[in-house]
Amino acid sequence: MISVADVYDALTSDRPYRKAMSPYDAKEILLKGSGTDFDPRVIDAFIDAFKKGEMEITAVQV
Amino acid sequence: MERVLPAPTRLYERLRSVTPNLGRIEAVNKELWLLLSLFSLGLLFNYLVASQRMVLSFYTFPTLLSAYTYGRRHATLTAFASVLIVVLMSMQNPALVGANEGARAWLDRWLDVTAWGGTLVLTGYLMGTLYEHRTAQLRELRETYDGVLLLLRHFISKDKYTENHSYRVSVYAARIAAGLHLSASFRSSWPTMTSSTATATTRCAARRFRSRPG
Repeated sequence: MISVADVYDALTSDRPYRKAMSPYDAKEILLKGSGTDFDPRVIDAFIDAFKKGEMEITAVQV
Repeated sequence: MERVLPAPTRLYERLRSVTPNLGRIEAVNKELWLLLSLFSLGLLFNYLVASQRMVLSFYTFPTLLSAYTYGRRHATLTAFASVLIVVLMSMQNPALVGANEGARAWLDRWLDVTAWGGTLVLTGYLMGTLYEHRTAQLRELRETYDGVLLLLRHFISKDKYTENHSYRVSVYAARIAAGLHLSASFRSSWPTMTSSTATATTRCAARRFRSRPG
């Protein structure tokens, strides 16, 4: 579960070596890894949350 | 006051995820059960005239129950309600509480009821106080734990970027967890708790991955 969240955040944020990916592209990549890299149940839950728009964080308040 | 309920069962969690309002219904139901048990005890008391002393001791249960689930205020109120019911019923039907001979027996009877009622109220009050002590301690422990995790998060993160990353990872992970219907208590304190846990876990995993030979 945490690895899904980690990979998703890594893909959708700017890195020195590449620009940030769009959330939809990131979602597709995670979907491809379902069953091999990630637990399919976790991916299902992720997709559900994604459709509800919960996978966007606008501001970080630490 | 914040309430800490006993550890929920798996079935309870599942029901809760199906109906988000279950908590409220359940809270109302508990109060209703309390009242219902009081009234049924009253009825029982009405019919079992022969063994009224035994029935009087049954009034402890609603009080203990409310002390256990609600705390001091509710417990004391329940105790007062039970005493009120008993007094009203014995005024309406004096034969209930004691023998029906003479003025001396009357005094005895009321002394009896007063002693019983005082004990009941005291029991409720003390049990409720104990409950609130426990709750406060639990909350303090949790706050300490969250604080330690927050500190840990600051120290583990190399800079602002990794800290923000771990914060976002924690939020995502918590939302996925919510989708998987994991424990609500875990979810309730996600901003500090899971983020630090997430950082620690991913870092451990990364370290293990890096130190792997080949």
